[in-house]
Amino acid sequence: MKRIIFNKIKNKKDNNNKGKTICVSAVAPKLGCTFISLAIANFIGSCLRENVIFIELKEESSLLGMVGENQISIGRSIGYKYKGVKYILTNSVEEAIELLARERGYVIVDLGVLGNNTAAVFNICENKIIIGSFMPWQRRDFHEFIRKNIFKRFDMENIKFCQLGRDKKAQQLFYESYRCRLNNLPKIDNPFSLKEENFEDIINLL
Amino acid sequence: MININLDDRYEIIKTLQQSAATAVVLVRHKKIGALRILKAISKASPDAHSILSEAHLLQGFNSTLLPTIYEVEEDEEVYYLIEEYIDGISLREYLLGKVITKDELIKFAVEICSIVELLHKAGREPVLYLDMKPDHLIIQEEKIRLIDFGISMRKSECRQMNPQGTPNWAAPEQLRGGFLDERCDIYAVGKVIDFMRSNSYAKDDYKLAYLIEKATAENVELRTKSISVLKEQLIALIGSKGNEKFGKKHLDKRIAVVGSGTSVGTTHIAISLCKFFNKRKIDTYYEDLRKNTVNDIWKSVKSARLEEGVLYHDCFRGVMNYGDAIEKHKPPVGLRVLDCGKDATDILLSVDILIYVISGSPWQQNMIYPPWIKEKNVYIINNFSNKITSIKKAKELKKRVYMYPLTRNSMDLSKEEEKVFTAIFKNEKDYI
Repeated sequence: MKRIIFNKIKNKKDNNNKGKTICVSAVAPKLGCTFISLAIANFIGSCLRENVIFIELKEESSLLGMVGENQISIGRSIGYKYKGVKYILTNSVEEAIELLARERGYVIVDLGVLGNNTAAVFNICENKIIIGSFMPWQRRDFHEFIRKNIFKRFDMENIKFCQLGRDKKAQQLFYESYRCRLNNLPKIDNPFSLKEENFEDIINLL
Repeated sequence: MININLDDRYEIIKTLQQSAATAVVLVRHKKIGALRILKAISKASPDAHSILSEAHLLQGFNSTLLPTIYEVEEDEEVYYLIEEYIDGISLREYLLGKVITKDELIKFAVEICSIVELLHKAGREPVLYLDMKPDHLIIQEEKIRLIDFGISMRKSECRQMNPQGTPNWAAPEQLRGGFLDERCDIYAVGKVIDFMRSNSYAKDDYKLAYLIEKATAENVELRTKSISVLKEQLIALIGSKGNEKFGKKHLDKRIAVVGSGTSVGTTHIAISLCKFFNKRKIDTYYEDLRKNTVNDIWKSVKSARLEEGVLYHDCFRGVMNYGDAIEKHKPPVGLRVLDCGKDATDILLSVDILIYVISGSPWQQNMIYPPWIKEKNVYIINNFSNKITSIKKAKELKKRVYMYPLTRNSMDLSKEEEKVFTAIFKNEKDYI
């Protein structure tokens, strides 16, 4: 009996946290992975007014200079608070996994380019976003990345694929190839100063 | 006592004050004919330094609100200070047998704050006046000026002070001795405002009473933070009056909805009130000061529209509580309905009308009512109640209590609710 009640509580807790772990990855560097992750985190923190943790999972942080003024502790980790979002800048996959398992609020992970070592984090997150480009010179990389890293390893239906630019032909082609929708990335000027016109696009991403 | 040869320049008119070690003399400058004050103090006196410190402190200020220092001289035994003669009567004399209006009181209070602000924001280091009382405030041609800087000091010199100041006017920490900062002057200014209030028609003004209570808090940490804040709060009191004068009607007015406790229906009543006014074509915006109610409504209501920080849904207009990462918008112009939850202490001064929500539930009956509940601009709504409990409450509070109807749909405005608001606002100008 005790076990049944415990499981019920556990399930309830899990449901409350459903969809709150979001992972943003890209098929290649410089595609705006950090930019979109920041926009999502700031939207959740400043518009939805929910607790949000941003994990930058990289060897070298590009955000420290920007967000690193106000140091705080988040559980056992050391983080920073900036404009309502808590930032953890780490290169440890274990630390990221622990935070994803422990935290009850929203957790956004900026994964950068998806690799074998970060696949575990990608797998744990409930919302997965992959950014790619369908520019003629980058199209081949996108397909190759999907075939190599995603296809047969992850459920394609649970991943949101996004393209830089708004190429309708690419969207059609993508659907024909993978039976998956290719979304457009929201046009955002500054992820630290979002506009109301950005909200709908960001909601569609989540 | 005055041994120095000042005869070539000054002619003694009258000795105003004299003791064994000090003298204050009214003199006239022979060449230009201007009246001046000559202060003399014996070098043997323990307070001999005060005359020099006064001169030293005042020399940096170039303001008509403070006396001008003309000369400092000395001989073997005495220091002399010649300063501007401020012709007028003290605030204490002015208020003898006279009752001032609220406007006059606030005007004087703002002027006093301006003088102290000038001292606190002085050049490289704040100057603490430390001896504020009605006798040191001189009214000259309807303007207030401050005199006697005998015990004034720079802030860094006040780290370990001996007890000094005038009892009943000086801050408790100043009379005890020890570390002092700008807040000891705020205490004394609060005392002076209280003194003026007792000789005014604003004796029962709860906003002013609250402001004085904050300024004269015994605990330094609970006291008004700075003289500029106190000045702004006083100006806000004139401000709300000013709008009425210029006939701005409902624009920029603020209605606060305050609950006697949690779960008494404050948010529901505030939202309904906002809809009530918008339905009558009065631009009204709901704002939650404690929570993110409007953001939560946006998340849950489908047909809502967002525009420049305002959520529009049917007759409801709510100001979104955005964080720092969202572009800032100008606050909309119109009537504001402020949902204050159960705490109104920090907005009391800035609202025009206050609706106090109490609950008729049997388990929420033993309440301590706030002192401002009997004010004219405070209306009481009894929620979750029946006629009998509302009548009982009205008898207890000796004030009309409006019974709020039970509603089924939280986002709709029923006719019964409209009737309650119409009854409340029918006596208020410009609202309906």
